[in-house]
Amino acid sequence: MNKTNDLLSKEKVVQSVVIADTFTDEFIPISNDIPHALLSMLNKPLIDYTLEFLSLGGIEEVFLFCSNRSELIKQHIDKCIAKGEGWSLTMKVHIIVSESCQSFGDCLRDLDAKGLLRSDFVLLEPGVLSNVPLLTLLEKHRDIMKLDKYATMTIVLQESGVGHRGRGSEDLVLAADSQNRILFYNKSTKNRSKKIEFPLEMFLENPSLSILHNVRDTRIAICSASVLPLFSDNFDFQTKDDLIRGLLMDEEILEGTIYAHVLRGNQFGGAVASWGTYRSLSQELMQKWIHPLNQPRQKNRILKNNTVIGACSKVSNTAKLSSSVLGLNLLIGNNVIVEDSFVFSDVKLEDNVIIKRSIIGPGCIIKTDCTLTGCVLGQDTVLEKSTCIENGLLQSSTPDNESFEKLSNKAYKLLEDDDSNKSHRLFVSDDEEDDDEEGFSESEDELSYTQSPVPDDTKLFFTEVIDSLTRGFDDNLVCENLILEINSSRYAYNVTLKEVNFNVVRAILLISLREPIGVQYFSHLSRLLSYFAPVLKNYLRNESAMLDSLQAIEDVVSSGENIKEKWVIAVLQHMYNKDYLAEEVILDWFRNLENSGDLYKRVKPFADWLEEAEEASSDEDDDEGSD
Amino acid sequence: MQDMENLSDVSHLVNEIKHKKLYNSLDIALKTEELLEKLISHDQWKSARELMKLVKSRIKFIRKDLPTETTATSIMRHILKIIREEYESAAKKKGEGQSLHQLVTANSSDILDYSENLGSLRSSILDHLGEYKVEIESSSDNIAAQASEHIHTDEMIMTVGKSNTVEKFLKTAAKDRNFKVVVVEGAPFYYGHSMAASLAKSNIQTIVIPDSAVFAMMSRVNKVIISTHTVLANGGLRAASGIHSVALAAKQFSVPVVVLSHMYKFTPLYVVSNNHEAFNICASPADVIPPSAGKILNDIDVYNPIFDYVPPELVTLFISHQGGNAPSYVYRLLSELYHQDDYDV
Amino acid sequence: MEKPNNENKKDKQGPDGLTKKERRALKVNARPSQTNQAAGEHAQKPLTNTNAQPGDTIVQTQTPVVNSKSLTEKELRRLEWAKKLEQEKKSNEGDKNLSKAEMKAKRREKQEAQRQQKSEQVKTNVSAEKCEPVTIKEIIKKPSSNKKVITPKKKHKVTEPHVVQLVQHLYNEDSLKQEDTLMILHHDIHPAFVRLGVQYSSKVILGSNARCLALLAALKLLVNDLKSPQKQEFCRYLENVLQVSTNYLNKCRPFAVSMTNALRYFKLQLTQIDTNLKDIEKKAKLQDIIDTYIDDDISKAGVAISMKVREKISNGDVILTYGCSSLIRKILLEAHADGKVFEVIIVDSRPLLEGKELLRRLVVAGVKCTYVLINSLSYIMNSVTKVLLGAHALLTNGYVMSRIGTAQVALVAREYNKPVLVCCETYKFSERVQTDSFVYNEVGNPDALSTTHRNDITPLSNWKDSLNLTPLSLLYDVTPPDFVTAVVTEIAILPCTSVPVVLRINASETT
Repeated sequence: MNKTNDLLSKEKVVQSVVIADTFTDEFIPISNDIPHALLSMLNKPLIDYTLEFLSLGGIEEVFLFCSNRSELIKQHIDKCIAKGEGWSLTMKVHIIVSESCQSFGDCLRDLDAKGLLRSDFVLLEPGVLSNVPLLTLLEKHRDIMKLDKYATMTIVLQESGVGHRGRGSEDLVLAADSQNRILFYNKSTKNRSKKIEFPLEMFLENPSLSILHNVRDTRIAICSASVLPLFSDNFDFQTKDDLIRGLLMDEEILEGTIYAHVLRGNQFGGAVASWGTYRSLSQELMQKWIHPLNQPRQKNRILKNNTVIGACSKVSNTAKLSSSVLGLNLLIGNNVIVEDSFVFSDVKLEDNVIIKRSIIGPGCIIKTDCTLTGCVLGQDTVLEKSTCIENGLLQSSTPDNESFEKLSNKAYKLLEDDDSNKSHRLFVSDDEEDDDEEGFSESEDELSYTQSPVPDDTKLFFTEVIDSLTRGFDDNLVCENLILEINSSRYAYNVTLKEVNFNVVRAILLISLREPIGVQYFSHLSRLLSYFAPVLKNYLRNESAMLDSLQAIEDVVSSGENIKEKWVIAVLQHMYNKDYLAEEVILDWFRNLENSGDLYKRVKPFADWLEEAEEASSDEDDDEGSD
Repeated sequence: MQDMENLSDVSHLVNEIKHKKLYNSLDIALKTEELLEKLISHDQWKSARELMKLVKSRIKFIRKDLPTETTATSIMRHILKIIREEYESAAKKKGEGQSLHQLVTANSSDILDYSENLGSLRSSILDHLGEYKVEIESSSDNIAAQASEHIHTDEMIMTVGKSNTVEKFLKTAAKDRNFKVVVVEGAPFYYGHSMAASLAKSNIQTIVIPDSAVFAMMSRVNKVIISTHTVLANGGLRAASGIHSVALAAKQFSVPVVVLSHMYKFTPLYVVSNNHEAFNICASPADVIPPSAGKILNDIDVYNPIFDYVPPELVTLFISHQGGNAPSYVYRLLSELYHQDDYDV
Repeated sequence: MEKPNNENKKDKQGPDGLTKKERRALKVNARPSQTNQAAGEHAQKPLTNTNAQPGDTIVQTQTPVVNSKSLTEKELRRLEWAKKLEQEKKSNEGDKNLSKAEMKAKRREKQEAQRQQKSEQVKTNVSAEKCEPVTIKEIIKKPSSNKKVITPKKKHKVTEPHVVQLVQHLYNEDSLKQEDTLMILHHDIHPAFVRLGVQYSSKVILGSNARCLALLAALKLLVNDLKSPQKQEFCRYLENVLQVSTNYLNKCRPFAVSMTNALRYFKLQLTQIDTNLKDIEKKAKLQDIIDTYIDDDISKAGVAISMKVREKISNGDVILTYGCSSLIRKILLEAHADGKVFEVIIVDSRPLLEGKELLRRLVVAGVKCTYVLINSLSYIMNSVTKVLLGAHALLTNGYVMSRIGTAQVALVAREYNKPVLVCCETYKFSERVQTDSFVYNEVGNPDALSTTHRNDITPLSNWKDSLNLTPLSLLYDVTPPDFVTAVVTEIAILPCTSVPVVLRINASETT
């Protein structure tokens, strides 16, 4: 009996996988030179905290998956083992290098191919800091697996009230049943809509379920052996969230269930996924939330105003430091103000420098009178005197992409478009976030399409429509086929009827405008419109459709294309004559137009004519009636 | 490199303490003793001085990594003293007994260079260590045996939190005497709860009160019996958080405070400030205010200290396996436990 | 609300709507439900003979208990009877037989009468009562069981489990606070008071100012809605109604000193109202009196105290406060609004954890706060510059009665030489004296102690099963005057011992 137990215990080495790379651009430009694992938090590399956490949790074998700058990581690990760090006594670390991996999913596929993992293991995303006792979680997962053989993964969540800094920019909404099995998972980032749709079946099939909004992802997951094959089979799974979403959507096909475990009491978990979470984890580490993980006491000195400074740093008397973390070997000159910032080691700040809410990479030199607000400086950047930068990313060597601005020999500012700027932006202050949210809630739910940005699907639909119509016109195809094509596109993109009408009319009008404006223009226009008559007839059947087409006209006019003056009237006339548009609709629409608008002026003559005609016809009616 | 390898055993010990696999002071004490036993019996050391150097390096390692861990370092210091004693007694066998001249002029450091007494030294040290181990193991029982002298019938005893020593003490007394115990629950760790449940199982009338009720209850309490994490060189205590308030309240009502402490909890260190890193550890604030509190956590500071400093004036009596002592006598006990030169390792 | 004048003496209902007998029976039910095993054993013996009774099986849990109590009461009556019998025997030897017969007849009559009375009581006890006549006979045969209990009125000396003897006298109120008594219709109490009572007993309204204000608000409603019967004068009628209502409130939760003082003031004003006024005018006047009282003695006093303390707060101060006092909150918020820069350390304790509420409000207002539990007092006391405490009441001998734990905070503050300021309005001054915290206190809910926020099952979860284990949670404690540097009132900043002076001044003002 003992022998078999020994054999079993040999098999049951507790394993864990740590993916060391984020595969995102969150930490550029610092991630150009320093791998994410060696990013220092309170003057100790992130990987040290992760390994300490794993050894405290009882893990015996760790597979560290590196792709970017793996030699540096390897060197560091070897150094730690030589020094006899705590975790090295109870844990073996295997470094797996793969330069070709581009995502989290790729790494796991690679691991699957290597076949190193034998049974359940703990999966960590990069930069995890935690104090959770992992062995109990593994036990719990095994118990779940006994009851549900398809249990694939248990994700570990932490209770976190809304507004808590640790939540970062992501918002997690979960629905779980009484066994903590996840039924619904939605992780959204800042530009989120305020509405979430829950599938009704979820409520109908489960007698009791709980919807959680007060949790956040600790990026720790207990996985069964079936997780790796799942990644290998589905090449589109790039992140853990993809796996969860995939399993939830295709339950019957993929046969896997996900469970959630919420941490209670003083158990804490979190990962550095962005600068925002970096800052919040740094604060939490300082305030001992992740006890017994601690900042390195020998290297750090704690100052007042929530500041931590590394050993061997020289700070002048007149410097003002508050709420910042400063590294080792710094030289801080006179009258320097450092607020809410992170300054890594070996940095020199000369006199009168002001640094607010920025991150200064190691080895930087910032000369006198510079002001930096909200910037990230890569390694070894040198800023010349009196440079003032706000919200910029600077690095010391020439960037690869084209858009950059050279500030000096060793300072290049990366320029990026607005979208990515927001994600790079360091900790937006809480007040700003609140304002955004308030603004959101006050906006109306229903916006007319002329004001709201057209969602992508509709854009695609429109382009398809216009393509098919153009093709149809050029090749002189039968209109029924065109209608069929449009309808199929509609179903493919799940577009509403309103939008179909709107876009079809708009497409036709735009096609008509493509013709060069010349003598033959109007005849061409009428030819076009008569060609598309069946299409128009098919779609413009009722009043709302007419309204849609009028709005389409409005839209085309406002889109600023070169429109001949009488074009609007011609179109309206034609449509009126062919009975696609009714008088009342046109007149109502006209009345609702802006008085001073361009369109108004153009439509006015037609509208007046219509009214006269109406009066005339009504007079006639009266006459008839009176007769 | 050799040092590195040798220190791996201490690293293991430190690791286990950090991972909370070793939590009780008794367990830590026994483990430390085992470690040193192994060191002494298996390691290649030639002279007593070499051995002492090895032990001292371990003490330094522990002090650097776990500044608040005194049980392990105290045991190691005591073993240093054992080594010195054994050496001196072995050395004296060679000499002709102690003449006055020898006593006056002899300096222990002179003698320690000798490396001749290898065989007998090792075995004699190991013998002595064996006795010491027995002493450690039976320390708890010896303290408990004194219980009936200190607790009388119909008394109300107050205790704070959980301690195996105090539990044994009270249970032993309960066999002959009938008394009541008031247990202070000791938030935010609530060790008092399990202590109360355990006492109640042994048919002792137990009342559980929250920390805030200490002053109110104190007027009816006859004795306060507590255990401590460490006894400092001045007779003061490093005890669980909240015990300082209890001791102050006891002083106000002239209630004697009896501290049960094993000999390996006495340390030759002094302490100046309550907040110093070498004195106190702050645990996770989640015990005080849970993370579900939400937004306010972003702006507040929360402290959760584990230890408290109690000055010697507030302690009435120390009970160890050898008997009772006043706090003013602690310095003498220290000199019996450790050698003067080892105080500052 | 009309009181039926023609009530049968038997059915005369007390403030909680029960007859005396019902109340007694309930008391009888309630007390032994704390599993008095000793009495239970007694009860079981007579029970075995009455198993035939149909009613027994239903109310198994209650019957042994009820029996034990009824046993004792019956036993006592029996004892007395027995004594009387003996005396009469000695005196009238000749008429022995006759007297015996008469006695027997009388005894039977009494039994019948009692049986009838008991059958009119709360139905749940019916089955128990049926046992009684049978058991009475058997009790006579067991004089030894009488020895344990001598007087029926005193609480029996057998130590009950889960009652701490030290504070035994405080548990009495507890027994009537059970849910079923509150559920009984209080048709003669204004609904505002009924609601108030529930709010008090479930601790929704906490804090002496809050409770007093709630009481006064309910009182205003009562005054407004009251219609006195034609024969009775409005004020007298109001007094009676008030008496009934306050008795009910007292049972829900013992009155705070602030409430008692406010009521006393009101009653005094009530007696001085001109009886010639019309009812409407009287009502208006009374409401006005209440409003003035709130305005002067509570609100303006608060403002005055706040101004006085604000002068004492300097920039850079670290102020320590304990629990959640509405007055302290007001002071701190106003000082912060005034532009003073200071930090606040909030000390909190189990099981009420009131400090969290204060913390939330201060953080929202932008005050820099630190939050600790009371065990960390020694850790943080070094960095504190002042201690501000609120009070429930100030006693005549200078002791400060406040939330439990305050004395400890003051003690540690004195040890570290930090000034302790107690802020208290004069309407909370009381003539009572006490030197320790047991004489007058309130026992809280023991279950609140046995559960913790970690949601783990604590070792104390099954405390009810163990006879030896009792969680005790007291609500108040008294701080000796030497711990307090000064008391800030709206009149002046006084030393603690000046309370009787203020009381005398106030008394002379009103009379």
